[in-house]
Amino acid sequence: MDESRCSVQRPLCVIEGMFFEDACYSAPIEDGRVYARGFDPERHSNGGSICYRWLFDHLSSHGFEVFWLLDWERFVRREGNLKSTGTRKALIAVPRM
Amino acid sequence: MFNVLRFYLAAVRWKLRAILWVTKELLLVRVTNYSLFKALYKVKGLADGGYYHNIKLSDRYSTDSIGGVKHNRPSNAPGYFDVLWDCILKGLGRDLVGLQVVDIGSAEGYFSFAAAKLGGWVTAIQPPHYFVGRFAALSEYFGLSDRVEMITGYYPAVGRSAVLKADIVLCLGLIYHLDNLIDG
Repeated sequence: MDESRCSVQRPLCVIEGMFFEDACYSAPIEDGRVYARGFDPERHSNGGSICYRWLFDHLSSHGFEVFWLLDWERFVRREGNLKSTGTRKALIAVPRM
Repeated sequence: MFNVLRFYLAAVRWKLRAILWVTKELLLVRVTNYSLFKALYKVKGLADGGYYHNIKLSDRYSTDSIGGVKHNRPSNAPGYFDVLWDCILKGLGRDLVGLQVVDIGSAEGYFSFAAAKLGGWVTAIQPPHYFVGRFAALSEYFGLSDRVEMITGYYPAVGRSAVLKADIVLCLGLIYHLDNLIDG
């Protein structure tokens, strides 16, 4: 996961929302294995939040390269910028050639 | 005598210019204020429940200041949506001129209008809601009716063909509203 610029190809996807980290995802996210086999609401969602590792894994295994927008995370983490204590993240998913 | 006449004519000419300038300014201000007044009137008339997006209408007015704030907005921090848009543009690293942009769950259309103002052709997809009337009023106010269109309904039941033709698909504050995350 890294923040870098990407060039527009068609179609790319920009996703923003509430996320959490599913405790079942203990493996390093960059180990190349596919963990996202379907979506399990019990494990992968929590009161409207989605497990961000699941989403990363799901998009990666469907041919997307994922760029997290870390500036946005830094902004929402600052006190007073969110009404709730949840975590919000944003990503750009670019189809691999 | 000749000099007096020349001075008199010059004074008349400058006076006429001044009158023309003032008339033009007054007309301009009146036209600008009229369209602003119309927009504010519409925005206020469509304000039940408050606005989800804080959209700037002029230097002084925004949807927040006229229509109030919707209770489930994630943040009331000034410039919240502006910061997100800036982060997205920085991440994309290029302009949007001529690109097909789909904005799923557009609400009042902050991101649709932002993309259209940068030269994108935008399709907004939004379930039936009071957002739809606001989107139409705001697109008219911004003069973007030819660059933005709205498909009313629930994605993916509607709008899939627009997504398949798109260069960029925006899913902002959306995923927790989807019944089926995999299909969505």
